[in-house]
Amino acid sequence: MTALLSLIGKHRADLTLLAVALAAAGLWVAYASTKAELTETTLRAEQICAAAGSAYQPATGKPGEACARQVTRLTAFKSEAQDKTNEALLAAMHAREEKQARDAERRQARLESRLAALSAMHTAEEEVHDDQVTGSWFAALNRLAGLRAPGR
Amino acid sequence: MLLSIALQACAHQAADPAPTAVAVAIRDTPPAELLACPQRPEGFPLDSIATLPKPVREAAMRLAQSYAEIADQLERLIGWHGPSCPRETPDA
Repeated sequence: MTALLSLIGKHRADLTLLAVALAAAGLWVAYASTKAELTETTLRAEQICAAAGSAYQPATGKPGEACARQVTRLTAFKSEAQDKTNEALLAAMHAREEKQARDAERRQARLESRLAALSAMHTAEEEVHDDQVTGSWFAALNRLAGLRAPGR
Repeated sequence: MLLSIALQACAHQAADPAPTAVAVAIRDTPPAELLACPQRPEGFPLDSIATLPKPVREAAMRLAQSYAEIADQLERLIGWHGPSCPRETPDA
């Protein structure tokens, strides 16, 4: 034990130098790796900004400022475009529903009218004797076809 | 209604891109000629008397019915695209 202490005491200066050198080397390694990381991060940022249609380090302004604005703009654009698209689709859907309802009404009205005309035609047909058709039969036929009354 | 996807060019521009709808409505109305309401012709004279055998009468009724159905369908189609055709109500 005493021998070890005396050995340290003898080489104190050398040991201190060694410790300082080790610390410096450690710091240098830490600095180098941090710098490499920073370079890589900057490169990534430049790629991301270029993809967003901007530059990370423009001629004026702080790095990343214009790019962040552009990204915010794009995000807003996307959400607003989506909202408007949804609105347009919804409006189209409603318009179609309205059209369908209107057409269903019209279809029903015309169907009823045709059925009434058909029933009148059957009545007129029953009144035909000896294949002689008269004005009432022609009137029923005109109504069945939806023709205008003659002479008008 | 037809929807078309129109992507706005995301240009490299400093100015704010005005947000627009990606899906826009396109009016695809057929030409006016196709939307003209069919004219119903004048019917048979009511002051005539004719001798029509049953098969002939039945054929006439079939034609009349088919004509009415086609005209109704056409008017519904026209009404689908715009203002509906005025309804003519022939006298019974």
